[in-house]
Amino acid sequence: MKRLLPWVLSIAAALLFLAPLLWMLRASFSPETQIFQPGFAGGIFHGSWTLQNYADAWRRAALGSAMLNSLLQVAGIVSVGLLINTLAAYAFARLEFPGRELLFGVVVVLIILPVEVIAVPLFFTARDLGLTAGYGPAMAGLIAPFLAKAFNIYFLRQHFLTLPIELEEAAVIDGAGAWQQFWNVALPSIRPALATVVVLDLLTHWGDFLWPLMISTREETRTVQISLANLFTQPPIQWGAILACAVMATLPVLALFRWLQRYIVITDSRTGIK
Amino acid sequence: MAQVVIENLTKSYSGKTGANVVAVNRINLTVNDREFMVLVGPSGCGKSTTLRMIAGLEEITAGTVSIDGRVVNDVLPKDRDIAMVFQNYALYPHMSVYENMAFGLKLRKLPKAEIDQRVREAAAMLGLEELLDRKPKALSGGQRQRVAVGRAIVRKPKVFLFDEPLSNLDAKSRVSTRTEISKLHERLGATMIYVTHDQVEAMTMGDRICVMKDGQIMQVDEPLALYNRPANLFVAGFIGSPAMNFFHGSLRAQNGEFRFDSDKSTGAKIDLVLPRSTLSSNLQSDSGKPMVMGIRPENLHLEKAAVAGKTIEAKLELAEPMGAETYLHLQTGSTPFTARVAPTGRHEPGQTVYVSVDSDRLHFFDPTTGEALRQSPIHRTNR
Amino acid sequence: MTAWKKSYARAAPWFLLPALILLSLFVVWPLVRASLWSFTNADLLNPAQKQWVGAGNYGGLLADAQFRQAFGNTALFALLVVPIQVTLAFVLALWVNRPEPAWRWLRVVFFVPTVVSMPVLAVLWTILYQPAQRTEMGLINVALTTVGLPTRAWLHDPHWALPALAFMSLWQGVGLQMMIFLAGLQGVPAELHEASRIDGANAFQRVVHVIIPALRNTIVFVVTVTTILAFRLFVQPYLMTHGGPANRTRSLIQSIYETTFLGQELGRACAAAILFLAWVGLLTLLQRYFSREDRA
Repeated sequence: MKRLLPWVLSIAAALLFLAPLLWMLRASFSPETQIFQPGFAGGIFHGSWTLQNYADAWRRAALGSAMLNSLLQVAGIVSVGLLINTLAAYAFARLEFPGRELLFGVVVVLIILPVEVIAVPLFFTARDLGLTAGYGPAMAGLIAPFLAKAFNIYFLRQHFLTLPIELEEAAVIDGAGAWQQFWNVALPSIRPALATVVVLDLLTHWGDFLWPLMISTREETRTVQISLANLFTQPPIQWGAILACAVMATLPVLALFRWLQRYIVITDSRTGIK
Repeated sequence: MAQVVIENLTKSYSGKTGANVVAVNRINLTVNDREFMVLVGPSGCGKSTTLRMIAGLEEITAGTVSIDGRVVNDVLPKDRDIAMVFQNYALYPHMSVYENMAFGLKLRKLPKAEIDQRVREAAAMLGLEELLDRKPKALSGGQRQRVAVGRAIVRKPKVFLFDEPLSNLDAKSRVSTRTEISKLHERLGATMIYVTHDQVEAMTMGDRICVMKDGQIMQVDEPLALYNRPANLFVAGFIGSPAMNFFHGSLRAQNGEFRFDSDKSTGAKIDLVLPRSTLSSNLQSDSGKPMVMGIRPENLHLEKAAVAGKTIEAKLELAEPMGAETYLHLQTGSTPFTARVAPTGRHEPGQTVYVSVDSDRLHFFDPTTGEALRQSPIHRTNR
Repeated sequence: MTAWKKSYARAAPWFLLPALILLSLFVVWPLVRASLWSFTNADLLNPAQKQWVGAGNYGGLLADAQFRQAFGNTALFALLVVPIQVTLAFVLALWVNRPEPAWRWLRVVFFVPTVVSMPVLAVLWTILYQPAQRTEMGLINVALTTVGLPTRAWLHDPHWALPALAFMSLWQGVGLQMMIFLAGLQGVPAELHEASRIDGANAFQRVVHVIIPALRNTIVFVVTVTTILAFRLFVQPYLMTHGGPANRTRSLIQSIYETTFLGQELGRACAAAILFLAWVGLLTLLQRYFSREDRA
């Protein structure tokens, strides 16, 4: 009996903790009138089920294009960003050029800079570069500011530094130049770190709000988060549709969740030790 | 022709305290074509640094390295026509055995068919055919080292460089891989330079051995020559296991022969009279000067009792039965020494024993310079 | 330098250029502009026409009651969230730090809210916090009535709006912190636990005297990062309360956003942003100060 107690407590805690999300899922399939009924909350299996909310959400929030935009944005940031940041991190880790330490020091200082501080002038920079006119440029505007990240460069450099020098020397003797060394030897050797960076960036940017709010003025460039916010603030307020939209906005991330949580290898970033 | 010539090679850098550290000090060495040259010495002697300078992984402070008559100081490692086997294998962890071996060839843009042929040839030579698809982490230490060797073979280099390749292996793998490398040398007939701190490896594998200490070459010669005619105290004590025994004293002329008087401070009880014929004229004229006499453990024999003019009296500290023979750890006065004797016989610690000496197997050294005292002086830097 | 290192070094510019250009363009240059504009009275619609006002914006901000309130709200939010979330995460990490594979599911459970994006959660919790209107109410109030407690108009109550936001943020972030602590716990060598057990320490003493000191740097790191994240509060008040009621939930970043797009006072907004940066810098320095470099 004593052994069962931690188990029972844990399951109760888990259910209680996830209750809001479980409710969200159930309520998204409930007709509008049912959502705020006190009785309904307890009776998850009673009450009716409907797909009307999803239909409304799809139509009103242009969910199709919103999802596409969000996916494009995140995919762009994660993939192109990975290449750019690993290249820089490798240079800081393994290429001995004059002024390296100083330059890296500057990069390190940028790590703590929150995006909110520079969001306003960044808006003007984006506008000056023409990143607000038209669909393509607007998507670029959602992606470009987040490609090069000081933290990712720092983190990846830490991992490059842990690679044994003999590996590099063996490749040198085999005839590898800098690019071949980077692409064929160093990069494949830090796969776990790459996965961590991908996961962190994915989570961060899927939920991006302030920047898309500032820059996505046109309807066709709206991300799913902005679409959700619009549904939420623009009348008529259809709670069911809002909930359905919320569920849709969560699905892609949850779908990847099993894969994601395997790669959440949290490091103590101050010491760079895994 | 794949001859490697090192002239006045020097490596120095500023150490942790800012002082200048000289790792390799103006050494000269010629490795002949097809030769298996072993660089051996204690850690810190500069052997690895020398090898890495030959490879091009380490910057050369002064002097030159030439391969096949061409000075390669400023040549990139990949253009020196060398291949290297590292102590910790340095296999690419995400590539299969096949890909590890093919990597260097792919970088050189060799045609696929040739790459495949070379890799399979090397794999066959090393018994790796079954393992070609495996990743390094699925291999044992010995197998990984063979892959590292295979990676070197496929490049068909002029010179093979080995940096303590057996140090990370367990004892059994070490012996088997050692023989494999030796057989490889027979088969390929390539020039090989091999670095190790283990004198057993050096003795068994090398055509010639270069003994190094503190960045300098102590002696270069064939294994048995080093064993039988060491040029200085260091080489005499480094080569051979158990090590050569040393006694401090001097020679004194007595009745047409020479008596070895042990140094009073050691209190060693040595009763040794040497006929003229066993000593060179130089040694005879050096009588009276302090010297170090060296004798190898196998040249000491257990006697039942003291024999005049032929024995050393000692106390038995410890007997180590090795099976085929027994090592007796003895002490005379304050000087410890070891004898290798037949495995039979009871030995009690604390016993007093008498040991006779093969008087034609003695070595004499100058105690200050460490040089061997022989017919003619031997130069420090040998070719 | 060896020949190969030199040839590698020659490739460095190619490796660095993309990142450096992007960082300069989208991080450094905006930062420089924000700093410059903060000393002017630049206008949103016409930023080119501006005059130097020196420290005028800064003085104005510090004198502005609304700005001070926004900072105060955010500070209060941080004060509510950080200690409770960090403690709870630490306790949870200790609770789930068991080797049996079944416990991994529990860790995943606590981590799920972190994965769901903040805008979604903001919308969800607004619905959950719905006050009671006749028979209809949000889930939170339903739960309260079930245990006999009175309902509240959470997001409309000046006293409870900010705590309500804090509670929700706490719930969202505790999983991530727990994972960080978990990683730290698993880095504590087993010998430390065993030695203290032999010394006669019970579980509580072990936590206080062995685990917490061993995890000191991790704890400082988590506290700092959580505090900085707390001060970056924007989505929750923007979507859930619009800064109300009575400006009690208006956050620092919200204030910057509104000064820019509603008040159109670009220079002022930049000054506020720079002040925020100084604050974050201070917190970071505190973290470095309190983190010892020694690692047993």
